[in-house]
Amino acid sequence: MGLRIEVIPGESYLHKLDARPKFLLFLILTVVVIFFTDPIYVGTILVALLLLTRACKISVRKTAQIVKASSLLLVVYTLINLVMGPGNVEAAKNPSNILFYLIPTLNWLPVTPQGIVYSTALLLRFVIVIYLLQLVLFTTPVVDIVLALVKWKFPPSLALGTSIGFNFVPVFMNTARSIIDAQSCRGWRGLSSGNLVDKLKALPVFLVPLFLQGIESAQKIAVAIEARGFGYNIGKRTYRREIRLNSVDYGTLVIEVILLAGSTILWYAGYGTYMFTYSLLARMKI
Amino acid sequence: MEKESCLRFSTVPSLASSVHSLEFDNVTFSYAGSKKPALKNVSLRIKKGESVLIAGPNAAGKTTLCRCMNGLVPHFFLGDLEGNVIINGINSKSSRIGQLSQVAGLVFDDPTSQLVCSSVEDEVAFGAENLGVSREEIDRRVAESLEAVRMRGYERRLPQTLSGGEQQAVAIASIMVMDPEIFVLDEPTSNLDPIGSMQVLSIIRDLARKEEKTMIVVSHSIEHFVTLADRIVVMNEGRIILDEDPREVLQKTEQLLDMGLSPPDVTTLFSRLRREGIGLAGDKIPVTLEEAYDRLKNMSIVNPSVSKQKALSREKRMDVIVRVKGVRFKYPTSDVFALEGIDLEIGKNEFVAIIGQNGSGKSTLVKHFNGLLKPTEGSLSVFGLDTAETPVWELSKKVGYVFQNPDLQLFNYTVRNEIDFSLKAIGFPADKREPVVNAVSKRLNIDQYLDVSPGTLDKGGRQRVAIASVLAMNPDLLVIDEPTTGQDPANSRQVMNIARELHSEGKTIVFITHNMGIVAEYAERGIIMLQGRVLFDGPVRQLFQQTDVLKESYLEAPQIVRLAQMLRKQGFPSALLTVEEMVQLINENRG
Amino acid sequence: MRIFKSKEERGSLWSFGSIQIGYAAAFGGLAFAMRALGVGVPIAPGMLMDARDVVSIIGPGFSGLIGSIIIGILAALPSAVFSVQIYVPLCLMWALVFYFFRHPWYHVVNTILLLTVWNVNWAVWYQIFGFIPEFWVAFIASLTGAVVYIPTNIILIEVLRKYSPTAKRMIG
Repeated sequence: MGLRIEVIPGESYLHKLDARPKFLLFLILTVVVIFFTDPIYVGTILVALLLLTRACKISVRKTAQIVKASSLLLVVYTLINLVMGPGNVEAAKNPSNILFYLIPTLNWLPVTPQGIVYSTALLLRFVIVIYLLQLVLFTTPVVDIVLALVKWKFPPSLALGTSIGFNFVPVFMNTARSIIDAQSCRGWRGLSSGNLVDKLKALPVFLVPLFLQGIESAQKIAVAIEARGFGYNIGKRTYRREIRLNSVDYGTLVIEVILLAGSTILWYAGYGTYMFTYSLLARMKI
Repeated sequence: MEKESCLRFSTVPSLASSVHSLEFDNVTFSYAGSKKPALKNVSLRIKKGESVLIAGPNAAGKTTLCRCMNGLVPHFFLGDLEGNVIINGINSKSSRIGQLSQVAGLVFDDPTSQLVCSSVEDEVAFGAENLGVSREEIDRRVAESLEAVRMRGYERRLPQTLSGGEQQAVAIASIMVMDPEIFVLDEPTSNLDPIGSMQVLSIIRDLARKEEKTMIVVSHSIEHFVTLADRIVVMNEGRIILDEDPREVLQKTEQLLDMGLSPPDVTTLFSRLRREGIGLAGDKIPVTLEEAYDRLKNMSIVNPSVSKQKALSREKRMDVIVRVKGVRFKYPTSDVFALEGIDLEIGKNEFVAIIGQNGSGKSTLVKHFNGLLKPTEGSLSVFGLDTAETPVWELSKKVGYVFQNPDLQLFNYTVRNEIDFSLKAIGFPADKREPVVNAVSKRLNIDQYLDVSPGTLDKGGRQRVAIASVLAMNPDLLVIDEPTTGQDPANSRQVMNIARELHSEGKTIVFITHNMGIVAEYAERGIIMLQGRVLFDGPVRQLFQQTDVLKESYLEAPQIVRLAQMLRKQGFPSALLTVEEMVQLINENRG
Repeated sequence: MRIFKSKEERGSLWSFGSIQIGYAAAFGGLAFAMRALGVGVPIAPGMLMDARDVVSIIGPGFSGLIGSIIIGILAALPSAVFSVQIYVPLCLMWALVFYFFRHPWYHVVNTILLLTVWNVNWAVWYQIFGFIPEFWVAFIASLTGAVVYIPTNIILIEVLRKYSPTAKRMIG
């Protein structure tokens, strides 16, 4: 259900990579992917990602569940791009290009082959971004993220506060389930029964105890970290783990730069637009 | 053990000069916004290396006292602090918590909220990191601390997946890493199952004896600390009432019982005997099992009258209301079966206790009774309704479930609304609700709070409000989930006494607990569970004689039962259950 | 008719000690957990109004300005769509509201902001992500969310204030 923030244990390339080049990888690939609107170019990147996943001994299916969870979003996104994409709009001006209408009876929302190619590329782009994000999260423990942020001169309290928040998510999920159970024992019908008004009335029954538990936990967390000297001298705080860039990390950085530079050049030279595939398909007389 | 000096922000003065680790000098403290002082004229002196047990009823000020010991009061919990608290020579008012945490470490009762990191080794290192200790030193200290609490090998584990006892061990390790002289533990075992308690107690023992640390423990289970503590300090209403050697404090048994404390069974026994006029060799009341045995071993009992079986041995149960057939259950997120094939029946008006370690399946089983969980295999019927087919809110009209934590349920402006909520939810007509609300609140002694917010009541009061809202639905079967865990003895008894009353009115009671004394006193039938199976199911008198089964589940019979078992040769019936029965027995036989 | 908090009532805007971290971590974790559990009011098949939006309005009141950044980050993470840039500024805004305004005026300000700024923010991001190209369509779509949150928020804050003296002290 959504992005899974957990680590799949392993010793692969991605696991050993320092958190900083990893996040840069994510950012750079997101940018690279925006340069291209052609399904074949983008598809190659996706295939490379899938191969990387297998090479790191991570289940592709598990990583892809984030895609499945977002399927509604993706469908809507694709449909919108199908119709509103620039290629489609341009091509639709020439009636001979039109393949069919989304709303046939009224002849609204024409769809052209250019449009299909374009929206496929955009769909693949979206998939790549969320898939990659999930992959990075599967291979990077929260501690590493915190350390990376601290290295980047992020205030340590902020980084630590966020990581504590992460760690309490399973605790609160349990609390939420317990509250739902406990209230059902008083005859409460739950959050999904009845009409809209009933559902709204049901919200405070669930949310109020939850918030009160949140307040209590907040106090306990604050006492616990204070009693262990947190904030005593935050500037001089040390960290048990040291993260250092090694040759593999530097190598990755080099690859990332090449990727970025290469894509910029290609884009500038006009390659990688949906016309590429479209002309291929046209030549094959589809 | 030679410890290298570490990077410290300020040198803590050495203890060569002062003999006392901790000094409270006529301390009075009120929390900000509260008129009533939490501590009143408290004076206390604790020597280096002493072990002190702090006991007292709820709201006695024990937690506040602990908070003073590392500066949380007054720097974190703001308020008015009169008098002085001197920790290792430093006045808490003029130093910061960070400094004091290097001298006194605090461990709290709720393990889950203390642990904030994503792995055990990070958790333990957290305190040292805050103090700016160097990396190599941190690694060394973490390894040592984990070794000391016997949690080596758990380094990479997620703290939330550990058991309660393991979590407390990690919490203690994370304090050890800061190398404090004083360890303050505020009810470290009250939320744990028996195995967890044993684990934590042995760590405390090691710290006190081997490492010679100053140990201050707040606990309700006096029995476990009698031999360990050098002193017992009893508090009530913010004052120190008693502060002496454990033996001396326990001589004042009646006073302790009046305050709602639970002295060891043997002490209560001899105190009662003394009141009856039976002095048995020696003028001091014994405080341990062995001492009690010595006093009684020369007695001999004839005609034991303890034959009145509290539970009727039933071959055929009348009026079965809960029928469990071949139930196996697996949580969706797990591969292991939490229940491995349960077959049992519960009849009308029984009083059943279910015991076992955490994870044995007690809660899981009992949550099937009102449909919160549906069996993966097998079937369950309650009052003739198939729980797999009936929704929870329907079953709740017949099966009341009292949760351990009332705060999960309370959310209304007033107590009245709170009780009214359940009635509304099950469709009670408006005109019939008010009399029910009034009757139930009167019964539970909360009628004076009907128009107050439940949040202003103390834990016991909130528990009663939660119970009231369940009782208002007039269920015939009442399930009580751990009324003793995390509660002080007075509150637990209150809940159990209500249960007893309801039982005498014909209701059926099923409760889960770790407290064997409560089982002996209240239940008629006991079920022991281990790893999803039922190991024993029968009358409570027989239950405590199953030494093998009890051993297998790491359970221990109440002290008074063990005493009776030790005195078997003298004719004491091993089916004896309570202090009262023992007193009666000795009374009848003293001629 | 004092609308604004006095200097003493405000405390320090930038304070970020253990208490603020505690509240930030707790409420941020709550927001994340709500989304991960899928809790919310389903107002139409497929459209779930998230409880985490409620948390991100109330949470910043407890955790101060910097803490609200933490709540924003944690609330934004469990979406497939990158939404940190939406949640963090919103949380900062709510933190400021609770900092400056007294009870019950912050309810008024919250309502106004929910209907305007919150809505506009969501509508703009709906557009950028290409979901709903027309701004006004997006605006009206997210308005339905605001209509759910406004009463829920007010009720929740009122109950919390009445029930817990700590809450009352912290957000006023």
